[in-house]
Amino acid sequence: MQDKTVSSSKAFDNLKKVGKSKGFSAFTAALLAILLGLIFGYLIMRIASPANSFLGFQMLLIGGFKRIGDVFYFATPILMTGLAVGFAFKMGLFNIGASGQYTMGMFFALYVGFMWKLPDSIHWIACILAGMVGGMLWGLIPGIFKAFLNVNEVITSIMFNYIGMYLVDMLIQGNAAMYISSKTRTAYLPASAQLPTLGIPHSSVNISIILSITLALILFIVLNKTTFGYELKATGFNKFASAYAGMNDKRNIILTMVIAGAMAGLGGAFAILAPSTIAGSSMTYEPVSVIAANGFNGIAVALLGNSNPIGIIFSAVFISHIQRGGTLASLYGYKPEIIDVVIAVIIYFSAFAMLMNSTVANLIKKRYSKKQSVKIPPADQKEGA
Amino acid sequence: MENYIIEMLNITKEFPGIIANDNITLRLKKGEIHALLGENGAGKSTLMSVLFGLYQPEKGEIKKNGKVVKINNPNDANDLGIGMVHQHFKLIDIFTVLENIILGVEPNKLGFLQKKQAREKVLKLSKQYGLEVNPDALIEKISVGMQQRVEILKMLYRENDILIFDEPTAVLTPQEIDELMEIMREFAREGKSILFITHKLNEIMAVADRCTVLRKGKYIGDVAIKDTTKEELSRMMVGRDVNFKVHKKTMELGDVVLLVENITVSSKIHKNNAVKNVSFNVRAGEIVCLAGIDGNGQTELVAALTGLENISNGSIILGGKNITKANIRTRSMSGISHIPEDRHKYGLVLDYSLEKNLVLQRYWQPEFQTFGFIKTKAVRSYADRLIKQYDVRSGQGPITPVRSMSGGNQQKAILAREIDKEHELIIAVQPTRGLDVGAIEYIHKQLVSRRDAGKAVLLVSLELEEVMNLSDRILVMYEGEIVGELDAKATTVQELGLYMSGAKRGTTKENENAG
Repeated sequence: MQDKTVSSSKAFDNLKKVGKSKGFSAFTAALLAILLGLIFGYLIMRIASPANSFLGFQMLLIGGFKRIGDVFYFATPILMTGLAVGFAFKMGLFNIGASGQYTMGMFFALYVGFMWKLPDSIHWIACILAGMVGGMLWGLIPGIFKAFLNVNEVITSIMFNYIGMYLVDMLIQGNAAMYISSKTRTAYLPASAQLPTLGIPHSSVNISIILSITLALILFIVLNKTTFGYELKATGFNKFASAYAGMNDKRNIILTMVIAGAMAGLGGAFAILAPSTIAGSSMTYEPVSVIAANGFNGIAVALLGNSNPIGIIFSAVFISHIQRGGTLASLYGYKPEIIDVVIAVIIYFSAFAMLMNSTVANLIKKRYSKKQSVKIPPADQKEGA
Repeated sequence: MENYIIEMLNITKEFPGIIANDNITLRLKKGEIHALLGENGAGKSTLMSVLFGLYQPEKGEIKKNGKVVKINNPNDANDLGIGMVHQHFKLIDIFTVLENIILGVEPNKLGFLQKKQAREKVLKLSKQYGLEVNPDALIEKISVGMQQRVEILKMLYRENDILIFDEPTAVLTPQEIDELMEIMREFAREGKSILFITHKLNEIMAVADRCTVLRKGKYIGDVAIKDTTKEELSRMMVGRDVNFKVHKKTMELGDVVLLVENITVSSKIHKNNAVKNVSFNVRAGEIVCLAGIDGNGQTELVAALTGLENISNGSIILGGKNITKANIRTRSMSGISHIPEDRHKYGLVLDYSLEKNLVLQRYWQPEFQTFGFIKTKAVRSYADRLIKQYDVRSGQGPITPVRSMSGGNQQKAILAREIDKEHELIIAVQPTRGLDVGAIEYIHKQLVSRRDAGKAVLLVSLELEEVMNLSDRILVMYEGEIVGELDAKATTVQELGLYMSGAKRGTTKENENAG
C-alpha cells in the first residue's frame, strides 16, 4: 500500500516506525488517557472548591509518595483482580466475575485461618493456597458453562458475584468462631495466618506485593513463551482460526477461567491476610451485602494496563497511588467521592485510549502522505497501450 | 470530436497512504458497452464510486454530454440517469420484488403507496426486455440470477440510461451469463450506455465495444475490442505476459486417499440438509474439483471433511483409516491439509506475526516446543525457510503482522504452511479468490505440483476457468447433492453450466448424446 508514497522525509520514517511499535502505542495511549483524565479531574476539583484546588491537586498527584508503603499495600489486591480480568481478556473472555472470585478467595483464606490449626510457619501459606482454590472454583463454574453450554461468561460471572457474596456473608454470619455479631465483623485472625510484613513502619505492606508481581511476570511468560499462551491468544484474536488449527477450545476456556479465578482469589486472600499495623489485631471483613469493589477496580486496572501483565503492574500501582493521594487531598477539604470521580474519569478515558491512539496515528499519517503525494509525477498515460 | 455521454477526466482520488485513482480518464460513448478492466485493487470500484457520487475526487472533473456536472451523492447520480448494479446486491430480503424496485422512489398519494401503477410499469419493463420476474415474490425466496434481474429492473424503473454493472457475472451460471450478455446488447441497441466492470477477459471479448484498462490506480489505455486480443488485454492489465494454460503431466492414478460414503450434513441456515447423502473418492495423483454455484453445500461438505462440523450420517475414510468421528487435529495429523475458503476468518490469526501463523498447524510438535515452551529460534528458522522457499513477501519478514500483508502473500503463507506439513490430501477451497493473476498462476502451479508429487487434491472452486484448467475429474454439486461426475478433458463449460444449474444430472457417459 505504501509503495506509492515516496517516503522522502526521514522524520516521517521514524514517526512511522514508532507508530507501528505495538508496545509504544499502548503506552502512549495509556499516558494520553491519564493526562486527559487528570485535566478533567483538576477541572472537577476546581469546580468543587476553587480556593484549594491547586494545593489539593498537587497533593493528589504527589501525596502517594509520602505513603509509599500504603501505595503498594493497596495496589496488591487490584493488581491481582486486574490480572484476573486481563488474562481472561487475552482469550476474548470478559471476566466480570473477579469480585465473586475475590470474595470466595477471601472466605477460603479466612476459613483456613480460623478453623485449621497448623504450625506457624506454614499456616499463612495454607491460607493463601486456600484462597487460590476458592477463586479457582468460582472461575471454574462459569468456565464450564461457557465451554460446554456456550452460556455467556458475562452473565454467569455477574450472577456468581451475587451468589458468592451472599453465600460468604451467610457462611460467616453462621460461624461463631469467625464472626463477632456485636461488632458486625469477623474476629481478628491469629497472627500465624497473617502475611509476613515488609517492615515499613505504619504500613501494612507485606510479602504479597512481591508474590503478586512475581505472578504477573509468570503470566507474562505463560502468555508469550508457551504453547498454552500461544493457543490462548490465538483464540482471543480469532476463535475460528484456532478451531481450524485444531486447538481444544473447551479445555482452554476452562483453564483460562480457572487461572483468572485463581488470581482474583489470591487477591482476596492477600487483602484479608495482610498484617495489621496495630499489634494484636488483623484485617476484618464486614458481611454487609456489598459486592467487593476491588473486583470491579480490577477491570479498570486491566483496561489501563492493556491486559498486559506487565502493564497491569504499573496501572495497579498508579491507581493505588492516585487513591492514596486522594485520601491526603481530603486535608484540603475534598471529599473522598471527588477522588473517586477523578479516578472514574481516568478510567473512562482509558476506554477511549485505543481510539485516541489510532486517531492520532492516522492524523500524522494523513498529514505526511498528503504532502508527499503532491510530489508524485502524473502517470504516463501511454504506458502499455 | 466524438459524442461522449459521460467523460471522467483526470480523476484523482486519494485515501490515506494510497492513491486509489491517479489521473484516470474514462470516456463513455452513447450506446456502447464499455468494459473497465483491472486486477483487484486497480481502482475500478473507486472510480465507479466517484461516478456514483459515493466519493469526491481530489482532482478532475466529470462531464455529461460535454457539460461539467457535480455528483455529490447517489441521488445526484440518479438524476443524471446513472444507475448501478452492485456486486453485492442492495436488496431487502424480506421485501417483495416490486417493493424493492420502487424503494426510494415510491409512487404515492398523500403518503399512501400507489402500487398499482408501479406494478404496471414493472411488468411492462420486464416484458420489454425479457427480464421475467414475479413482482410479488420475496427476495429471499428467489435465485441469485433473479435477484440480479431485480437490480437491473431497478435501474430501468428509474429510467437510467447509463448503466454500471459491477462484476455482474460472478454469481451466475454460464447460461445465465449468456442471457445477461444478450440483455446488455439489447440495452446498447436501444441507445443506453453500459459500463461493465470485470476482470474476466472472455466476457469482455464477447460483449464489449471498447475497454479501459487500469493497473495499480493508473490509467493504462483505452482500446477498441475489435482491434485487440485477449493476450494483449491481459498484458495491459498485469503488465507482463501471462500464461493461461496450466501444464500437467499425465499421471498414473494411485490408491484411493479419501473415500466419502453417504454423508449428510445438516444446515445451520435452514431446516433441510446442506449436504445430502454424498459419496465420492479422491485418489492419489489427481485433482478432483467440486464445482457448483456458491451455496450448494460445498462449504458444509468441506467443513464436514475437515472436522469443523459434525455429520449426521455416513463415513469418511482417509487412507484406509476411518476418521468420521476424529477431531480436527487428528484429521490434520492423519494427512489432511486444508486451505480454507475464508483466509481471514479461518486460515490466519491476522494479529499474529507471519512466523506464528506459519506454525499454526505445528506449534505443538516436539520440533517447536519443549515442556510447553515454544522454541523461538526453531520457529524463526522454520519461518525463514518457508518464506524463502515459497517466496512469501512481507514488510518485516517473519515478524510482520499478517494483517499488513497483501492478500496474495497471505494466501501464499497459508499455502506454504499446508504444503510443508505432512499430507496425503490437500483440500483447497477457492484458493485464488480475490487474488491477482500473478498469484493465481503461482497457486495453480503449486497445486499441480502436489498432484504430480502423488498427493490427492480436492479443489472447491466457483471459477469455471479454474475448474476446467486444473482438474482431472469434476464433481458438480447442486442443492447439496453431487449431480454429475465429469471428465475434465471431455466436457465443456456449457455442459458444466447445465449441471450447475440443476438442468442436467448423471455422468458424462450416461449423457453422451445430450448437451
